[in-house]
Amino acid sequence: MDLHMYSLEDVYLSAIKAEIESKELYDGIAARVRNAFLKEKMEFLAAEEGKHRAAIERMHAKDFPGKKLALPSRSPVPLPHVEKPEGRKLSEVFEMAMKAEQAASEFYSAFANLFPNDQPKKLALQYFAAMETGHYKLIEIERDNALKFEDYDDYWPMMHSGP
Amino acid sequence: MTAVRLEDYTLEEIYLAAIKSETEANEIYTRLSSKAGNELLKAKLKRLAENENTHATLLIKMFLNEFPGKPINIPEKSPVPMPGMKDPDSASVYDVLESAKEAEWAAAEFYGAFSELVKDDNEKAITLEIFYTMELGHLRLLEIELDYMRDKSQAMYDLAMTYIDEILDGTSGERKGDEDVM
Repeated sequence: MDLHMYSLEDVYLSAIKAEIESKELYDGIAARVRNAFLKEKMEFLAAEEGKHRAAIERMHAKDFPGKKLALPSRSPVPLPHVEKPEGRKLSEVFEMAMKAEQAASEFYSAFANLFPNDQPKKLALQYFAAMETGHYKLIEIERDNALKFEDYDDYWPMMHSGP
Repeated sequence: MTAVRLEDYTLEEIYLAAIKSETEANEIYTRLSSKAGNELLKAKLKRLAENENTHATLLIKMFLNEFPGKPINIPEKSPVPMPGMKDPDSASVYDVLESAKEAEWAAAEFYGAFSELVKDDNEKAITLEIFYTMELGHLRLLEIELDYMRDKSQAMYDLAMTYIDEILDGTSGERKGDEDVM
């Protein structure tokens, strides 16, 4: 992925929009599932996306002092759109999330390349890329579980009395 | 799923090994989170500690269900050999995470074997399989962190983490509280 063809502001807006959508997706899954462990994982992922959003917003504020953020309805950089989880099988929702995480990781790696002379920012964005890869791997485990077990969320009664 | 053989141990020994391992992992992750210099890693380690504590709590419930009224005497040495984690007081964060990676993999294999052992009890078997996948998830997170650390020098890692902390804290002097931007 090469982001040099986009304005820096468009790249920031795309990142923030993607983080918001991902957080909403994980919050939506967490609200829907009854398996306590799965819920906790989704809440953890939602919290991490929330931190990324906060960090990116503040980086934007640093690069564009005084400029108000105005998020467009459509991402300036084409990224996989994350649909609402309602009405979908969990395995499909996780597949969708995996595509989004993979794209997010590639996006942050490319974003980092826009700052060859700002080492801290470049390294931080590379770290976010790594975190998104971590999310991908966590979701992959859940996707495999969802494919392996029929009625994934209802299958583990002991978990409902979990944490 | 796994190469670990638990058939040579009693069920009680297996439970005690699991409870001991989870309790120790909780304690190490908790201490390491205090030592970690940045908020993102700290939060991840706290979550790992909480997960291990939850496992220990559920294992104790399962033990008491299996052996009603029996006291839980955790031995000093684990009945089932398991790799330990390095002490955060005497090892670097990197070295503790490396040892944790080994421990998480061993724990995943352990729960895979434990699940096989109790496969006739569906609820218990699947609960233990969930533990297997959770330990696998921990392993993946640690791998990502360690890969990043390995890829960068310590100075670069510290630079990235300091920058992220400052940005998240708003201590770099820029505007704060941009949460409501939509």
